[in-house]
Amino acid sequence: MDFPVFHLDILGNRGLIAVIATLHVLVNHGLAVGMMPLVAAMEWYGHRRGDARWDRLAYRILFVCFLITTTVGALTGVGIWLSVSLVNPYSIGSLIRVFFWAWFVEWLVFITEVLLILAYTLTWKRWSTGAAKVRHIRLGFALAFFSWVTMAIIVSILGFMMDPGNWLSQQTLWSGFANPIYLPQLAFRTPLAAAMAGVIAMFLVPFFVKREDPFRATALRAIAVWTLVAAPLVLAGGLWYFSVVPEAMRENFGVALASLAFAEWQQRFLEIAALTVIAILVVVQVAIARPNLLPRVALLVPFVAILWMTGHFERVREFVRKPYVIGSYMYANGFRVEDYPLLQRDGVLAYATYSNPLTPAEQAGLPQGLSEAERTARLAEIQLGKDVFMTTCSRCHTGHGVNAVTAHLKRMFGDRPWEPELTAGYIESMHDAQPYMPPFPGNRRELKLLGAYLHHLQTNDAPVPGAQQAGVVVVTPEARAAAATGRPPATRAAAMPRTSETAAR
Amino acid sequence: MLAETLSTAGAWLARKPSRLTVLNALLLAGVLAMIGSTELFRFVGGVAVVLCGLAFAGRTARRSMRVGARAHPYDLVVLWAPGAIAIALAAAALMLMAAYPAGSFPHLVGLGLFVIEFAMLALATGESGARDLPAGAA
Ligand code: HEC
Repeated sequence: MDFPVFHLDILGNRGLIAVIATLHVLVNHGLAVGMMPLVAAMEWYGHRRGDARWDRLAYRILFVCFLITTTVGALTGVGIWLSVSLVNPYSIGSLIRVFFWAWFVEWLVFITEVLLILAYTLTWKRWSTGAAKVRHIRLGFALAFFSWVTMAIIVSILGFMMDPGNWLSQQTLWSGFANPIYLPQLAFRTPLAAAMAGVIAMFLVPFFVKREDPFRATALRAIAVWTLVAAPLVLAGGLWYFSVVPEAMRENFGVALASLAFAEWQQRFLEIAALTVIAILVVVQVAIARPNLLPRVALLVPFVAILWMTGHFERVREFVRKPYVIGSYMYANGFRVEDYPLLQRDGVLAYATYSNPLTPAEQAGLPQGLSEAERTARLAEIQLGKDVFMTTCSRCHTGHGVNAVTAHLKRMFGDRPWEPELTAGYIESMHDAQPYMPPFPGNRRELKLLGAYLHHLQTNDAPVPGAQQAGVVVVTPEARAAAATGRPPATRAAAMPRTSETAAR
Repeated sequence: MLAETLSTAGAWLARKPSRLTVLNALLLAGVLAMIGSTELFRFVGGVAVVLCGLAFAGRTARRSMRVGARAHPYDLVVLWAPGAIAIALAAAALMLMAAYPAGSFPHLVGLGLFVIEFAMLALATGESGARDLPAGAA
């Protein structure tokens, strides 16, 4: 609670991260990790056979990858950590503490990767014969290696977030790095990247080699063989990965989470994985047996299928982690599991540095006929309720957008008034009702305040702004004391005095 | 009129033997689908795949021996892959059809996949009788 709350009320915070992260994974896996070894292999093969057509094709594919990875790829890569730091600075803080040296190495490896792809692309024409060509090919394989290492480090952090394993008791970098999910996930992502690259390269070939050119068939056939080798490994890696996830879930979440929802996801994911592999195999088969008959649109099928599967894979990965952002250590609302007893005794507001001021639009919709004093008291209560909402729910829920808390309440309670007694009862036990939600971290009084705020949302559908729009207010000791006793402060100004540097924009 | 259409169609089919092979595979799958018994489909389809697969494997094995030590693993993959994938996917298609009730979406996907893969297998088997490596598999 040391940071202002960044919040997107339409897309949702998770939506922001999901869009950036998915884009990044597609570019990174498909165009860097999987494609660089393929390009280097094409260059090497062309050199060995003295066939310049391979060289030309490899260079053209590399150039596309170069353009996209150094722009979209690099920006989204940084963008993931930027957006995650905005949305959940506490989890990033923990990850940086645990993985500091891993991230430092990652930075060095990433810089190396960028330098290598620059060198590899820019020296292609100049280092084209004799010993220089051999050196250039080595450069390509070095680039492929470093691309893979950048992924291999980050995958450990992703695995750690799902299940920190022995780190929970040992708390060393190594015990966190070697978490139980790490190797299976790496074993899944590596061939997935290779298969993705193969599928994308097959899609690109018709753009670079004319239909009449017999080399088109040769190239399609060779890339198809590359993809064919990767496809069964994707399936095997996926099965290995799934064999470790439910186990970790059983350990972490107990029997409660072996719910229907997860069973459905698992079934669904396996079906998608199987369909993707089938789609890839059919196209690979035609590309080998009848490359000339393969229409360009057919090449889109495995491409879309593999993107679809990767998207689902990331969603499942996010889903099984809930209610934690770091398994068994930190909940997705940013509170550490071990801090819960303290927070549930004193309340989350007792430790809040900032308040999230209500905008004029958010203050509308109060019942008619309130006296000025009643209005002020009501608004002060709603203000505190909003602060509870922002710290305990807004990481996963919006007010009125994606996964909106109002939509859930409407579905559950319909149009009857969402009295605090009604909603508080549910929220108090929400973790038992839906184990993917963390337990409510605040105390009983805050439960009522949150209830009052949710009730207000029933008659007010103004967007809930984040600190980036509405600014923040520093909570003064007097305001905190007033909030803790439950006695509404005399004036609104006393409840939320604005200091000059934090006043709303 | 009819005779003329038939003879044009016949000529079109005869121009490439592969067209007849595909037509035969389609007819077999079509007849089986119309009978509407999944058990029968699985049995007859399975036997057809096994027979065709055996023929493919035998001929391709002989061909692999013939190219022998000269062959690069890549060339061997190109020789084996189309038929091997077809056998695997045709089997997967039959399993899919058996696992889901007739008329359901996965069942239809299985049917479509079986038709394609059976035709691919028949083609691969036909080609595996040829003397040379397929064109372009240098
Ligand atoms: C870890 C993220 C997370 C946090 C934090 C969280 N929720 Fe949820 N909540 C979810 C998800 C995910 C769903 C289910 C969405 C769906 O079914 O589509 C959900 C569902 C709900 C539902 C509907 C439950 C049902 O049985 O259908 C309500 C009500 C709700 N949340 C209220 C809250 C409130 C109030 C808070 C804050 C105290 C909160 N949630 C905090 C993730 C979260």
